[in-house]
Amino acid sequence: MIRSGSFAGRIAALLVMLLMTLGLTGCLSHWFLDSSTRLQVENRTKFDVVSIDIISEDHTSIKPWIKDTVRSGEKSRVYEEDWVGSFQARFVFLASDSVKRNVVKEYRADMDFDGGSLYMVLYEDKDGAIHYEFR
Amino acid sequence: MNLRNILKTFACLLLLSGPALADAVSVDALASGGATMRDNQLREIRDVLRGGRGGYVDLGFNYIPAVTQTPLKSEYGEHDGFAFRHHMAGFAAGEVKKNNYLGFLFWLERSGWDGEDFLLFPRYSDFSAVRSVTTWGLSYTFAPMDLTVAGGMQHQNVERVGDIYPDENDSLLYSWAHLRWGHTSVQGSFHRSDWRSLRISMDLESRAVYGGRSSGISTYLPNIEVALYNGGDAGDSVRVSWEQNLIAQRLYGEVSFDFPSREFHSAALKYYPDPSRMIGFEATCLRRNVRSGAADLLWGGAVDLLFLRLAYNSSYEYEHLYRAKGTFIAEFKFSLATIDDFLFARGAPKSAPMETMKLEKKNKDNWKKDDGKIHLDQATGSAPKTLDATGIRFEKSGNAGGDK
Repeated sequence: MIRSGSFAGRIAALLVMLLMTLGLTGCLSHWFLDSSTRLQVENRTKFDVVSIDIISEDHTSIKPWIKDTVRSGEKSRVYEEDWVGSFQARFVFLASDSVKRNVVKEYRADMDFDGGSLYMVLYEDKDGAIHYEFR
Repeated sequence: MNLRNILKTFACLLLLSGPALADAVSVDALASGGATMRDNQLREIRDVLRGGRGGYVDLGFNYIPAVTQTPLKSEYGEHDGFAFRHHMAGFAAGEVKKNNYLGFLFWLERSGWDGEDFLLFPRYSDFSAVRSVTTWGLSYTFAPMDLTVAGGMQHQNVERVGDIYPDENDSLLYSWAHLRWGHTSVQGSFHRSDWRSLRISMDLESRAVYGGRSSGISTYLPNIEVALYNGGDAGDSVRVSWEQNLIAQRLYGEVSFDFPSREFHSAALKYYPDPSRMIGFEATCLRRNVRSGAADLLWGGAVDLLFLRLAYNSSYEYEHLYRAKGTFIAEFKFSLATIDDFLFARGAPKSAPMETMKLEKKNKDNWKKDDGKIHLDQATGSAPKTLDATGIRFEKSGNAGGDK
């Protein structure tokens, strides 16, 4: 197969194969896949959100994601990071205890990010537990 | 064996093997990728320089369609993305003086992990590792003594390593040297005045492409490789590999052991329908050193079809694609070696099927000058009978003087 045909024919066949393989790799998957996640958070709880980070599995390293303090009832700016996959997110809230002292509350959640734009809403249920929801 | 059925089976398995089954590649494997690439290139150069003449081209890249096939396991979790490996190589030698050959070698590989699949331009995400190794050199072969001397440089360059990887020098320069005499070769890799690796190979098997026998007992001699690696403070290590022709240079067995740990490293059974090795089927078994006993063994296989390679848990992909396993990995590739106008795949003992007859004839001519037949087109006076010209009228033809 390789030795048949003219020299130009062989080169043309190689070029066609190269183009086919070029078409198969790269680029194509970006038509329907994102390799970064753009996150915006709306805080519907009565607490202020101090930060939202990704935390390592052994809880020793932290990479900040939402760098704003999101006050109760407000939205954060959009932050784009390369978190696509399965990670543990950490939410830090500023709450006040019974004698009106500020205390920091941490929540952790395992999350899957598929990339692209995400709009996250944090809210409290009637028992006071904090939940998140993507919209 | 029906090739089409095998391909169909593979295609079905490829679709059915859920990407969810795939295991992640590790940060450790990516961090040690540079050394693996350098060693692999030198081993390929060893194979190609077995004859010291001719040429070689190689081009290939892995094709991994789904982001979940080779995710990256970091301390933060599993990142979707692609382990990639792009490589190309070339070798060409020309006769500068009768029986003196001068050659140029160029090997290039770029591999690592990136958030996107690409051919030329990576995305360089926060967790990417993109590294390239270039090996180049010159070779000189003196054919009557079957002697090859080669040497050159290796450049290891890091384009990007994310924070999650250990710190690495972004530009390292190594030198290498290769000496082959007949079936034996010695290869060394050095960083400044410090040796990095030393490979001693005894390719005892008789290979028809390099003027050896095409059958017989000498084709059953083993190919033995002893590779020493400088492990620095961790201590030096040795890997001994044995390649053995089992049936007619079509079925080969390979086994390798590590020292000083005296542990089994890997074994393979490879079947080539034709000894030119353009098509190959392999079953491999590799010790991963993560658990003890038989539970540690990774069993896999691969099909190599000249332009395409499909592998599942095969030892080559595990070792050269950052311990990727649990998923089907395709590689688009083209690789061909040539010597004296005969074509074959790297490491093969014989040339392509259509050319084997020609090759056998050529080698036989070399072994025994006088085969007892009368060659009328030979102008030598040693022919036992001569034709008397009386009564025969010679006519002048276009290519008088004989076309050999």
